[in-house]
Amino acid sequence: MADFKTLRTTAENGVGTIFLDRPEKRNALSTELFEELAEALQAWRRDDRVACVIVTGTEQLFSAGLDLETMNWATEADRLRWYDATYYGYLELLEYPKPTIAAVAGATFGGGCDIAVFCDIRVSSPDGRFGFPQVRFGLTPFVDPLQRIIGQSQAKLLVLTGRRIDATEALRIGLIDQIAPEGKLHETARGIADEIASTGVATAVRCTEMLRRSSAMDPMAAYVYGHVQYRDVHWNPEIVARVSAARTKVQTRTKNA
Amino acid sequence: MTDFPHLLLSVEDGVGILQLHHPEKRNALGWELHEEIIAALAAWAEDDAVSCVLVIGNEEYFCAGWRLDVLNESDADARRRFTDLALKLMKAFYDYPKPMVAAVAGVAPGYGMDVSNMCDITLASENAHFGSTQVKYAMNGFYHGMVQRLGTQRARRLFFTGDPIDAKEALRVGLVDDVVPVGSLRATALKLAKQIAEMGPELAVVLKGVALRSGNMDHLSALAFELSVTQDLLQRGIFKERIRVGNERLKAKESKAVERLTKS
Repeated sequence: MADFKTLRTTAENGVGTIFLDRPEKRNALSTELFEELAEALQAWRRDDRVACVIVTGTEQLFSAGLDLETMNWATEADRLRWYDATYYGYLELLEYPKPTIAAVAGATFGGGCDIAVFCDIRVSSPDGRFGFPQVRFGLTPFVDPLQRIIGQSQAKLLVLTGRRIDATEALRIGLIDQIAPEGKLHETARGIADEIASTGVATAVRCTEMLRRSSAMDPMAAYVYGHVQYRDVHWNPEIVARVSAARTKVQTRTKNA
Repeated sequence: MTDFPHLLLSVEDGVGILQLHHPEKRNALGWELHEEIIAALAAWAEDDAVSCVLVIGNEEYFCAGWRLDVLNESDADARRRFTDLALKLMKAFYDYPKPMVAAVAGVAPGYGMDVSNMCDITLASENAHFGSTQVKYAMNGFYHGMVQRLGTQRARRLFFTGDPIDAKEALRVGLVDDVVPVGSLRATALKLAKQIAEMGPELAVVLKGVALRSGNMDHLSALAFELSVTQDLLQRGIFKERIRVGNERLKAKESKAVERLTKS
């Protein structure tokens, strides 16, 4: 695994974890951080040891957002590198073949909030705070997939005002899916990741792909696509073997009961 | 860097030339060709020396399609890995970040035609033939690629019958953009690819992004999107430089467009 300057990574038992790690900058997002995020994710794309990825910071803080220093470009080349870094960083999450979980705490603002939104599932500590305050400088956040996740009206409220909301409100509007007990953010995210990883890499990838592609199809096309997938898994010898093992287990249990 | 024993790769004036070269199999796509093509395209996607990719075989044939022998001889598990690999290759083509030109000679059946349809522009030699032949083997050709270029009737006719059409008919129905005399395919296609590559890698990625996304938006979203792209480009160094040079050329009554119009 490459040596990262702005991240730390671990991979064990089917779960890859990326810790944003710029403590002196409150995990503000720099060119290098986006580049390393994309690189770390890429390395796990086809790594069968990883079925699910957690993107997180510490138990106290996810990311304060954009590193304002970064926007102080010395040259046009630096500016274009920043655009590439952000473009490919977010894109990697958006099109990532394996499920991603954002585990966030404390400040989760601006680009940090965008990163959380680009993940598949979001868990927060009780003190998580969210929003897109950059709109007050005139900087635009990503409105999509935000509006698919929380609906148009709530997305407008957040994007147009730049207001900050707490974890309870974020849970209410569906911006996050779960609030972890205090001090147990990583443990909780890990629990979800373990559940996903236990379904196996192939299944996690297939379901992620289905969930992603279906939302871009009309309902009838999505239905047909879903049924094709269903038929396809029945032809898959590995899955057939899993199903028949489960059947044997149930039969044995019934016999012994 | 991966080895590419089944490809001839070169870069010329901003054009990455990806020549399929597996003559024993008439460039049919098996395990090795898939892996090599995917790796070569990935490397060029991030290489500023390449602004446009030319995908080509030779003057006799382009690609004989999917390796039927692999499909026939493999067990279920290998077939599944093989289809997964095909999906990876098609994704690499169909969403490639830079312009791609396909140059097709000879019979391009099934997957061979599909790959050419996933490029931005296809040129055909007069000896070219195209067909969605998968139906003959109880498989499905790639319909989306056909219907992007053809009307729905012709797309479905090809898709349902698998019967081939020749280069002249392919040109008439819009499956290819030009037909050139036998033996001149590489030279013509390379000339076109070089003209595309003149814009340079930075602009090539931006314009390809527009071409990939705009067609999937409604007309007003597309306007907003494309004008944002214009605004972005107007800020860039390449615009400032090229508008200056362009203005000077206009004043001197020089124009590449006029030169090329009178030549062709």
